[in-house]
Amino acid sequence: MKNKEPLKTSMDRRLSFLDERPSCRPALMQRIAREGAPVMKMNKKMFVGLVFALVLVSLSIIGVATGLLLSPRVSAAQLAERELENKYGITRDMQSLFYRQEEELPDGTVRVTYTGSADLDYVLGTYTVDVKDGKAAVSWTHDGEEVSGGYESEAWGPEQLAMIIAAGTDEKETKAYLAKAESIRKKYVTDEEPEPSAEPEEPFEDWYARREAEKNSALNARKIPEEEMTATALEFIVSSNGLTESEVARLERYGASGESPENEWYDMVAGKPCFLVEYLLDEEDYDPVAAETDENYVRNNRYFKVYVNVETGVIEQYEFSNGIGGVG
Amino acid sequence: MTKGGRAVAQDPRREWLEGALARWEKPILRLCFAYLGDTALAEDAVQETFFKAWKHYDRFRGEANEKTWLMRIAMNHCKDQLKSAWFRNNDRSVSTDSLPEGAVPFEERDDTVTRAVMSLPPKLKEVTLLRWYQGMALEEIVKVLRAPRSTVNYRLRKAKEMLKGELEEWYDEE
Repeated sequence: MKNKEPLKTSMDRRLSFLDERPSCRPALMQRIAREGAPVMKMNKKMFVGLVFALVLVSLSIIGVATGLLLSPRVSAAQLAERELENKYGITRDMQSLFYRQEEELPDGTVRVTYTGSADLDYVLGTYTVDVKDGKAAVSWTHDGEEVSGGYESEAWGPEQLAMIIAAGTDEKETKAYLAKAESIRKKYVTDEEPEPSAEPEEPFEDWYARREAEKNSALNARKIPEEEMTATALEFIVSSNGLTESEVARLERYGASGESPENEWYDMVAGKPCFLVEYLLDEEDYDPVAAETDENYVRNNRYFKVYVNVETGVIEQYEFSNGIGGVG
Repeated sequence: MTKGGRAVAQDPRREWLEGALARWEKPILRLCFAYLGDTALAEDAVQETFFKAWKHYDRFRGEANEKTWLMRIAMNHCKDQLKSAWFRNNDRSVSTDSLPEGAVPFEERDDTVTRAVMSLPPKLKEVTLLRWYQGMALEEIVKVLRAPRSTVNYRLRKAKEMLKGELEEWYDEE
């Protein structure tokens, strides 16, 4: 199809009557003024000292493992993380470019899979880690293939992942490696038209009602105070990521304004009622002004999500992102 | 992270918002209107988009560029609107035959193209607006819609077929 004129130009001209509409800015600013910024309720200095001391005590008493209770899926995922780094050299940061999923098999094995994020799924492939009785067996869909040679290689391992991380969020570089990944993918994968779903699409109202019911069910099952679950999640984040005191000082609780609905942070995870705790961690020399004014500035902040069982305090799931893509 | 080019900010989030409004308010308003066909709802969608963006500013971690991120928020809000019982029962969307006149003179073919796009079924309309109106690459659309690449490709092909039929007069075969 060849346009006589770009569709955008035609539509922009035809919809130009919208340019006369007043800006939403005044109403937006009023709304923002009412909202207030998310706040960390506890005095930050006290909070940081307390958390760091607590984690140090846990570590010194029990060695590496803290007194935290971990679900089999979380324990398996932690072991899988280490195995991926030991066997394939896929570091924690690199794992953030994959989507991690856990599945409990009938024989008690927990299968942890790391699939390359959307645009890189073929070149990065899938790592499968089967964990049973504290032992892990790891394999990769590209096992045996050549992985050196930069983006020219058809299987991308630690070398290419390090290049991607070094490229950061530079749009030009991102587009270049995505295009390369896409061209390799096209050689081996044919996109087929999706089969029409036999299941009718769930109406939005039904979906919304179902989600609300799940969230309320998790909220109503709560036996542990939120403050305690938050502290548990934080202890897990600090200990499992080896955060330093200065990093703990920079942690910011996300969504702590207290203005959201009561069930906002509650959900069912693998059938377990959970409370979600999220923390953001900016890099040490994060410069908010440069982030706004310097086109080349790359903000490298990380975030952590932890689901704590509201009945037992067990960590049921966690996610980590270094801002590159995917959820390792 | 952003391309503000603005002076030193006391509140970077607020300062970013001002810049983002200047850059994207009108394009997002047009996108939302083309999707919803209702000026008031489109304006609500724009306000909602920037409010959510402001609120979740810390979560904007460079996974997408600013435009992709804002378009994703806007498109999700519009989709929710379209699915809501309120919208179904109170559809105030203008007939594509009676779009208001604009300040900028337009030609008949501008009207034809716009009406044809706005008349597409929602799922085809959203990919059309993102691909050909917003000029997004396939990967970006996949991110915005969180849909499989094959699904996006399929919808783009279907939309192209339908538009070709509707706009035969204005479009030539290559």
